[in-house]
Amino acid sequence: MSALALVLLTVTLQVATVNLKAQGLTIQVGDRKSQIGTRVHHGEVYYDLGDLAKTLELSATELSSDQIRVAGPRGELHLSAGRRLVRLSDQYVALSADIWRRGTRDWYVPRAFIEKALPLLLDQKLEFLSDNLIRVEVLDRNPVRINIANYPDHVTVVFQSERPITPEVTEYRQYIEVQFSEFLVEPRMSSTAPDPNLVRSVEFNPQHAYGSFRIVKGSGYGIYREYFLENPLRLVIDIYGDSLPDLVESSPDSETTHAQSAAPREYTSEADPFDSRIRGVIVLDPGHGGEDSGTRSQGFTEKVLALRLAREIEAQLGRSGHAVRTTRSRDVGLPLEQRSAIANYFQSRAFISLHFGGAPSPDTRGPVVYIYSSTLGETSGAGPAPRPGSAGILTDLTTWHDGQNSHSSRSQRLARLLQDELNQVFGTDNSVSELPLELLAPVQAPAVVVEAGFLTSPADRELLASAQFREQVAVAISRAVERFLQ
Amino acid sequence: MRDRRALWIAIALMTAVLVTGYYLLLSERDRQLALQQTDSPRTMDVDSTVLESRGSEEIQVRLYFYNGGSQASDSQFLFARERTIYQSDDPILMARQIISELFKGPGDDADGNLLFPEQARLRQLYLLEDGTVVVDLTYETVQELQGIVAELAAIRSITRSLTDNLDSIRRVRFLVEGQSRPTLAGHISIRYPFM
Repeated sequence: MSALALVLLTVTLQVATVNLKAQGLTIQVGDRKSQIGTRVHHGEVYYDLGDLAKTLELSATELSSDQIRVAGPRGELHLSAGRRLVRLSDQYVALSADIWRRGTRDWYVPRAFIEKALPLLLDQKLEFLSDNLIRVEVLDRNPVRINIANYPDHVTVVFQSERPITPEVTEYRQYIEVQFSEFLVEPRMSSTAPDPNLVRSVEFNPQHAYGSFRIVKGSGYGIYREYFLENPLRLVIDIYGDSLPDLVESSPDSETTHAQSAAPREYTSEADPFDSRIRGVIVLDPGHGGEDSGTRSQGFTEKVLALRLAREIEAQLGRSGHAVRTTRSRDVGLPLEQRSAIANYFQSRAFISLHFGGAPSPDTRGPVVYIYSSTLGETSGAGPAPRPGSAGILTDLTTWHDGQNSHSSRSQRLARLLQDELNQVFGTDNSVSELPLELLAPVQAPAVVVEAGFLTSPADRELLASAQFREQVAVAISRAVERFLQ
Repeated sequence: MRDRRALWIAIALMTAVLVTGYYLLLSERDRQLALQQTDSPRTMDVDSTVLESRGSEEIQVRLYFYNGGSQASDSQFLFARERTIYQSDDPILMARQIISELFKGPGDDADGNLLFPEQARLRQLYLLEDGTVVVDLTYETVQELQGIVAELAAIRSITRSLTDNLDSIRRVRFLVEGQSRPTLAGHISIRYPFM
């Protein structure tokens, strides 16, 4: 009997293993989907390195019975059987499980290898859509030209990107990092050497997912300021010594779209928007960010345009003496509730979320301002069912998702002012729309979502391609906000 | 003699168990392999094939699609198209066919208004006792819904097409990959059912 039980147990275990394997992993490259062989070993799911290499077009060369080299367009990884450290040039990547060599030929790697080590080899972006589905996004190239100019009191480093990308600038103790996103950077370095007292070197760092640059500080480094110039789009970083010139008054160029001069490092730091002394400010929320690009169409990316628009409005309202804060000041993803929470933290006088629209039809166009409503606002169609409401139960408290309820009439007024101003700029007659928007529901302030044109509309794209038009949009929004606050 | 007979019986039993186990193992592997080779179960095509093979009658339904160029505030946000599906006493089978037809888009001159990608799939559909239908979509179905209008179009066209055609469906609730989420694609709240 015990033999019988043993046999049954073995069969059950084998079937269970097949089931575990069957969860599998699919890698999607363009329209092509490939299955990666999986096996369970010591309770860990392992993936067939041969399948991974074939799918991602990497070369895998066995160096000895317990060593294998995997080479990709950006470098080589050395793997050893039974070890959990993977070597990349002079660095090591630590995995959560050992590399497994099965039998004499097959190599298997744990999930951590795919997540941590593989991206270092690829000039493609891996997007982890679910536990069993990874999409490989082939990255287009973005030539970035670096120009260096030395002046008596500062060094100017200019980054001119061929694609309309707003890079992210972060200061570290030893260097200033300029990170590009979305496309794979192809550096075109300057032949001019910087003044070594202020800038030791400007280097390209291929280890970053898209490629980044480092401006390594010299011994005389004191401070930097950054600003953008347009036509073509350029990021300019000026590096000064210890003695700082008067940065506050002058704008470096009449073309400057975002005069960073008033607070040179403000939007490089996410730390101080939560200054507890500031209350009653206008909060601008550039939509999307980070992995979430929002609507993308014909080279236009919503998250980039939204951030630029926020900067222009911030500068304009700032010049009129308004205190303005933004939920994000760089290309970073924020959950919706965090954006709403920032609006509530500042006890905002107005909360404006900046977006650009997308629709399944190219005919849908123009600006649309949205406000919160618990219904979909259509008389003969779908609308949310009555909510299991809190009315009558909580008398002195407002639940998180009911924050907007007591501000709806002022939100409506703000929305109408914005819609009118924007219609004039776009030459449209669109109306304010009311929808159960997750972002606006908790905001305890007059709150709107502005979609400043549809990126899926050729007519709107043509308008938004012009920096002058985008400035008009920023002016229209600023004017509506000022009229609302009067 | 009795010992030997017992031994033979034990060997025969073990062989039978081994053969059965091996057969189960192989058939399970084949099934899993077949499942893996299919992108995801095309429940809708299965539904119509099954109903067709049963000799079910056809019925006209009125489906709603996004009206290109319209905004969320427009009264003509959706337009209707007649489609033929197979009749069934089971509202779930009817609802799955309706969603399958919606995924195909409005067709002909409105091709430019295709809302759902080709990979759009319904994972599962449940009907609760209170008339709420739970529509569980795959990630691929919603990932390309760019912008508020597209998201609204998806919610409205599914909700209205189901509630208008099937009396037993009063409300529609959405899940993505079996999970409750705040929004389908980042804008409109799907915490509560729509009707």
